[in-house]
Amino acid sequence: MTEEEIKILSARFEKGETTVEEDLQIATSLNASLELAKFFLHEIKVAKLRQELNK
Amino acid sequence: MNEKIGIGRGITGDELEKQLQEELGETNSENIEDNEQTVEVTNESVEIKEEDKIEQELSSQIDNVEKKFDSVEKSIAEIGGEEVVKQVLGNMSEEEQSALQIKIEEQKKKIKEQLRVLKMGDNNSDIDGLWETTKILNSNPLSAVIGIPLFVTTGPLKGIQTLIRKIKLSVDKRKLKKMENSNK
Repeated sequence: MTEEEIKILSARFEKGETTVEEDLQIATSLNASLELAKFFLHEIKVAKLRQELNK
Repeated sequence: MNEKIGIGRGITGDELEKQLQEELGETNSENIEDNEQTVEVTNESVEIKEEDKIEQELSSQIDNVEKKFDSVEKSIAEIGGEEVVKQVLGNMSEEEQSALQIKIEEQKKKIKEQLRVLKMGDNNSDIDGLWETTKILNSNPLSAVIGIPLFVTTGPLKGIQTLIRKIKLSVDKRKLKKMENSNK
């Protein structure tokens, strides 16, 4: 999917015009991002503990 | 063979046969039309079934998103809030930030692979676009937080919440439309 296509999808999503397939793709994207966020936050927790120990 | 048959009707055997053939012909064409209608209805049913299947998949995906969102929200609270997340990042040395960035890229690859295995997204080539989709769809995305070096403005979680709400709204709209159509 090109950036232009994503922008078009985004505009249609804002207007509530997306199809069920497109909504699924958006939910999948969100799921993947949150999965990554979970990993990121775990790393932050570890980094925070390390920073506190080094104080 | 051409003798009149049928009491008082004066119809010859040939005429009767012709009439019968005409009637049979009509019946056949009606049958063909019926069959075509059946095929149309069947195709429509297949489409509806397929759409229902995607709708179910979407519902389960939304459930997953909500669970993950809760978990992310909990983690941020445990750390001490979004500001603390930014502080921790800010206190990291450049080397530590680079190391974290590498780890995140590796994790991205793993998630992409999982998506590939689960055959999620339009097709495999679109998986790279998944991150971008969230980034563009949400003006204040969590995906921007995880694109290191980073610093978001405030409230990425609110942005994610809005996205979830919008997807749910879209699902409800379609349900309502379907109900309206079935009532017609």
